[in-house]
Amino acid sequence: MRGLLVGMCLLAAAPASAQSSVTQPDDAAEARQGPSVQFRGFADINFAATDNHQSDDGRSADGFSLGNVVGHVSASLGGKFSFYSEVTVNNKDNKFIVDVARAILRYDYNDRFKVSVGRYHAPIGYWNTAFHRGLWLQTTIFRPDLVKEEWFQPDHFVGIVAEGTLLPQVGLGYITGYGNGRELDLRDQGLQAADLFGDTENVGHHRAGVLRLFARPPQVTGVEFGGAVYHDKLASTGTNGVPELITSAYVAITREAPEIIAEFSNLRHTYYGVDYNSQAFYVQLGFRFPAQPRLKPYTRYEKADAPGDEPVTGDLSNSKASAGIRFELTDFATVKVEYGQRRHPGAPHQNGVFAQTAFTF
Amino acid sequence: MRRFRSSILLALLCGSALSTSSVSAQGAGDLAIVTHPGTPVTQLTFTELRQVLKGDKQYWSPDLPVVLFVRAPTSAERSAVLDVIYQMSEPQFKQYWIAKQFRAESATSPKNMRSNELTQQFVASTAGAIGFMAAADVKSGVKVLKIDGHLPGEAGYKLHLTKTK
Repeated sequence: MRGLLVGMCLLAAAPASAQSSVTQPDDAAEARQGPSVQFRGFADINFAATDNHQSDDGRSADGFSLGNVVGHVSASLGGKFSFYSEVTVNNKDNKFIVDVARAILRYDYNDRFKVSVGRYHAPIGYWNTAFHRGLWLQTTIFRPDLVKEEWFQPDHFVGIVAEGTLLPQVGLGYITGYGNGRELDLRDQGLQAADLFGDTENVGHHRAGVLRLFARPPQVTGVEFGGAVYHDKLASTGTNGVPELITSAYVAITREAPEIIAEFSNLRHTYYGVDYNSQAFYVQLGFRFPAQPRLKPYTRYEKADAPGDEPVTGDLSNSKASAGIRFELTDFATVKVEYGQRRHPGAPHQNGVFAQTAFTF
Repeated sequence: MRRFRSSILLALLCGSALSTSSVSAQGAGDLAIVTHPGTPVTQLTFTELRQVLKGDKQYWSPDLPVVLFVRAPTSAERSAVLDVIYQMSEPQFKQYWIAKQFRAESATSPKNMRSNELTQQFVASTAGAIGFMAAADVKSGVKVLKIDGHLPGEAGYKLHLTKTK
């Protein structure tokens, strides 16, 4: 309860000066002179009815659930500094968990070089940075398994990041970062974990690096493609660490008619000299009919393959097919209804019908 | 002879007047891209203009950020820009800027202008400002940019209030 109160206070503390996506002229002058803060919130409420009477992630029973309440602040601090923050409140097991998902202080030198410090959505692929917990932004009800919390790849990244444009003529850009590795405790995977100094309580003392290249060709709207490399060394007792290498590629066509988003990622752990490679991908198609712009049917297929003896993540192999429809209640609120079937090797298929209302405010 | 000279002069004056009227009428249906006079550009390619208006290019120079002004919803100028440059519907345009800020790609969003007069006023008085307005409403105090080498009213100019590219 205290967490909920703290979260709501944090959300409410942000000024409500800019409730629309486009600001009014009154703040044009002050934008050049001092802090100009814009607040936006996201929230979603969900319903699930499944074969096994569990939610899609298996963490709770099916039925109604409150999803995320997200408060996002972006602030121009004057000069070339800006600040971004995202605070989320989640309901898990009837407890509210407050998380500062992002807090970023950024300095822009120019379009080619911007440097920042803080906590980010890990910039490894497309979905994780494009939508994350702003579920109103994404077409579907669920995030792909590939990007769900610490399942296949890191969710967040704490450190320093440089980003910018390399070739503006073709919209080629980069993001590179150096910081803390996975927020993952290997002891949860049954491994004896300790950092290089033998500390078994704080196993996150490793550093990771990431480089992502992407292109948004200005000649065509709504097209982005790119790839990333992420390297980390997970601490594990009795080893020099477990090297983790993630390579990924994606293409996103977000012109609505059609929408095509596809991502592929390969995860490699090297444990006692043996490489364990796991792969995950998803392909999502959507189409907003020009004659009925409030309606957007969509479908997605996703799959993960992994060695059964994968030492860190365990066997992730499964697949899921889903299809649904999104209906825009207003420009800022939507209802989604979705059917999904998940398949695990050697286990019965799990079917479910899900509904969600998601909105921004 | 004097009558002949007068006839020629009259003909030239009429021709000149017709020509001005013709350019003006053509320019009146065009959309002008205007910037603060101190902005270090006189022309942009169409793709560069798209990058600026979409917030993908945020600096004219290291010390001069782009400040973007757009016309308010339902205006003919906004409809034309959404159609030709952004290639988005009004809801998509709103979602685009919400997403851009959510992704920490931009700390600010475009400022809404309720009239061409306000656009003129704010662009003229804000360093780094860029906006768009009906070419017929442009007054001194702002710089009209060439797009792909053409000014409003010239043949080959791509931005029209009639939404045709």
